[in-house]
Amino acid sequence: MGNLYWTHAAMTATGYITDQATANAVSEAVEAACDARGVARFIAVRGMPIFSGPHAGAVFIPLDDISLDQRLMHEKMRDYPEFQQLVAMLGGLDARIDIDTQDLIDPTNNTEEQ
Amino acid sequence: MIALPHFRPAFFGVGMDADAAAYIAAVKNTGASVSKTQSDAIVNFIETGKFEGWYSSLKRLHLPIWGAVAPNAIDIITRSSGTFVGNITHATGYVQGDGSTGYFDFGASPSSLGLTTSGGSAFALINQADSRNDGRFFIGVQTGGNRRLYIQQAFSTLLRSTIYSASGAAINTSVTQANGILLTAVNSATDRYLKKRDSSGISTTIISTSSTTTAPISNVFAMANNDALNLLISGHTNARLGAYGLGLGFTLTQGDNFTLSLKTLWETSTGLTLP
Repeated sequence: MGNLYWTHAAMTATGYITDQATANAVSEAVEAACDARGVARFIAVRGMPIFSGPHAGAVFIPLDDISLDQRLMHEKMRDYPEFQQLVAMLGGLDARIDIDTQDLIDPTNNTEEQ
Repeated sequence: MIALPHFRPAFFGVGMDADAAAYIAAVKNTGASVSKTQSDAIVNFIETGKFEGWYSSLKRLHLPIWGAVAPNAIDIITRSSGTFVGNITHATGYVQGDGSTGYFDFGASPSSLGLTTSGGSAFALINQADSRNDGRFFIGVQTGGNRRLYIQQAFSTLLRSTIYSASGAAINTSVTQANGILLTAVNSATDRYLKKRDSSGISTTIISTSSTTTAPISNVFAMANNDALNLLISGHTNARLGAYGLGLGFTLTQGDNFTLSLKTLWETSTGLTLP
């Protein structure tokens, strides 16, 4: 009975396909938004390399609807004007895709089982 | 002669513990609400730790129970903030990564926090284990020279931890469920252990090692492994975590006491019950 909760996890992640320069720009904008508000950099955007699949070589920025609905401080992430600007910069919410999470794993350096 | 009334200490300004007060204030400053029950639980946890002697060993302790990103990032010990990255749910009582992109960056390495070959520890409170069986990290970092520190759900029925070299000091514990409070620590010059406290009590696995590998020098992550050696972030978990942190060494008794107090703190603050 104890292991009934074992189910297979979602195999996709939602976010943007972009390049490293854009990912860096988004990351710096989030840091600037934290700094401008005088708060710690408690959240960050860090692009993830895509190792395989149709977007191999590009950079993935995860941003799903659950994250958008998280409260940062007083408000949800999606309600901050800075995030709205960043989303617009990335092509809007409809530009997001669901990527196979296997495409985010480096096939040559899998350290999950040590 | 006038009899002096028996004042309570608070009348002389010896009220709430200063560390507890500072953490509660930091959480409130982000807009989060802290109830009296939660405030009392935090005070009791810290005062108990100072009385029992394990509080000074703690170097980082995050309690991500507040349902929002900013308060969840605050460290109880120093009131500094780590950083959340990727897709993460901030629920009341825990955080949960999506198992492929979400993690928490402590912003500090074991080495920078003073963890050494003769004194170090890592811990995590798992409210619900990962749903997969392929090696997921509750907390982890790996750097050159085989320097590692991690607690991993290796399989559904196997927990594994390392301080600081997997090849010389991996601790494997068979379990029926991979949840509860997990504490791995340096116990003495040659002994390291992995404790698991859950609703049924506490168990301890001890190993002896001659490893002299020193503490990793890259940032520790929760909910994933910072594999700085291979420039990767791997083993993201979708487990639900109610607390995590790092410390110096704990004796076996201190480990028992600390995990019991952490259980009380988390259960009292959230109204949830540790599995």
